[in-house]
Amino acid sequence: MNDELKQKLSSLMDGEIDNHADPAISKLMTSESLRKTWWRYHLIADALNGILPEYLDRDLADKIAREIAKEPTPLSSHRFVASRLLRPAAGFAIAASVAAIAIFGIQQNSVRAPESPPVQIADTKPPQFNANFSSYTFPVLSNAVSSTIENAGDVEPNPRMNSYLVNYNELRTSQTGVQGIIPYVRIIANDDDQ
Amino acid sequence: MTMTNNSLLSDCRKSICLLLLQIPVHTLAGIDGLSPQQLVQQMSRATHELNYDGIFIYRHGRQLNTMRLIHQNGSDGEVERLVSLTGHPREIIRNNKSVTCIFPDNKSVMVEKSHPYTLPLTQLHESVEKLTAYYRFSISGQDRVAGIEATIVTIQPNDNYRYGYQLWIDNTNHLLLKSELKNESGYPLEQIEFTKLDVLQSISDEMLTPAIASDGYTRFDNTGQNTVTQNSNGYWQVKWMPDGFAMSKREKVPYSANSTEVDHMVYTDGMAMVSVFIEPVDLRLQFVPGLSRIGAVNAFARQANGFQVTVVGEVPPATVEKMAVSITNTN
Repeated sequence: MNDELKQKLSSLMDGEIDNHADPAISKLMTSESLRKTWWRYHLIADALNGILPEYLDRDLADKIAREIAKEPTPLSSHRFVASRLLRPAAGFAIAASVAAIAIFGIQQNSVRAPESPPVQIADTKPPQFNANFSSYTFPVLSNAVSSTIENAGDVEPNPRMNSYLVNYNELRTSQTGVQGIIPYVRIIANDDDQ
Repeated sequence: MTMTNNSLLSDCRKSICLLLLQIPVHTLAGIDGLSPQQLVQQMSRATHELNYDGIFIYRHGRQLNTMRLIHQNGSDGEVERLVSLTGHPREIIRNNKSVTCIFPDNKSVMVEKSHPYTLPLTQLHESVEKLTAYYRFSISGQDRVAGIEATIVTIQPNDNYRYGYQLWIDNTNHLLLKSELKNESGYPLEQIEFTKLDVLQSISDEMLTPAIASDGYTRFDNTGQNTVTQNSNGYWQVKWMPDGFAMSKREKVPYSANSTEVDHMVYTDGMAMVSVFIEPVDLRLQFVPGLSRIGAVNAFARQANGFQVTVVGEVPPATVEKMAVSITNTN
């Protein structure tokens, strides 16, 4: 699994992809290893949330996906494209709902491509964004947290971002009265897949 | 009981129910009769004042890490050591002068200036009280974390420009035992949960000494003195920010990689915080425009008038983007 797909999977899990036609979702449905990774991530999250089901069937998603794959395929090529995108998502939803998992937690804060839009001042309504996902993980000093970059080509790690991040965390500690998450955990966190 | 009495009792019950319904959720008291806001104040105070040593799990997306946190409040102020117990043994040591990040996986050390916590308790009280204009505080119940009884405080933002929090606060020492940072749909983006937390009389210096010998590591030291004239980056203004945000600090941050300084402006509503970094475009250094993130911290970078503007914050992507595009150079 490449870094881009892993990042997509992570974003999908965080509900940051609201485009159901995103190629990452199709890949998720056609790749056994991706499905298992997705299952593992949710298992971790559910364990922490204290909502683990009593019985865990690791093959449940695969079984349901196989059953759905046996369904007749529409003849029209146009319809085939649509169903190819929709069917796995539906099967996926069924599989996951059995394990009490919210799959498509569609968020309002999906992000758009990084064009510089016109400045808007004093707009009190939350902005509406389209579904073009354009996100990357900060290329932090450590290789373990770096290099998953979309729409940016091959980019070398940027130590300037590291400096920004440490400065941000430092002032997060001193400038606000309340801290929900312990500062700096994000900087030293390791990716468990590495 | 007569019909009249029955009717009277029924009316009384209705009145009591109506009264209960009219009590704002945030006024429901937690353990010791403390309101959720008071519990949060106590938590902030305990976090800085106590000596403690704990092990916790940090989760974000696919990441699951175990870490150890040691905090000392001694005669020289606060000293904190954060160690990753899984994967690469990275460490961060923070004292009243500097923050040292040690990355053994690529043999590097980064040092930045620290900003000691100086918010007086009276201001802390005001700071938390002000939050009620932008967040709804409530107590969601009692729980047990790391063998310690805790009160669950839920903090929900009133708009989509900030994240919400759920905090499990130790009923005795008021330390944070578990925390979830949630997006506007209530989905936890990040979680920490202590599995062990000991409050100690004192913390020895040995416990705060890095386990990693960083001799020979590449060192990035950004604690140098200012060498660039003030306002060399011009005067910048953030024209849009969420309600309740105000500038709390403005500083120049030295950056050793290209011997320049970065303008750093800090905006906060008392809970969420956003940093704005501005520096001249340097073609020798890589620049990636648009959105990026680490954990639940989002950033948006763009170039304007020969400068690079980067907005970083533990807020939704929409907030950093909207703030970034509103920034103008008034010179």
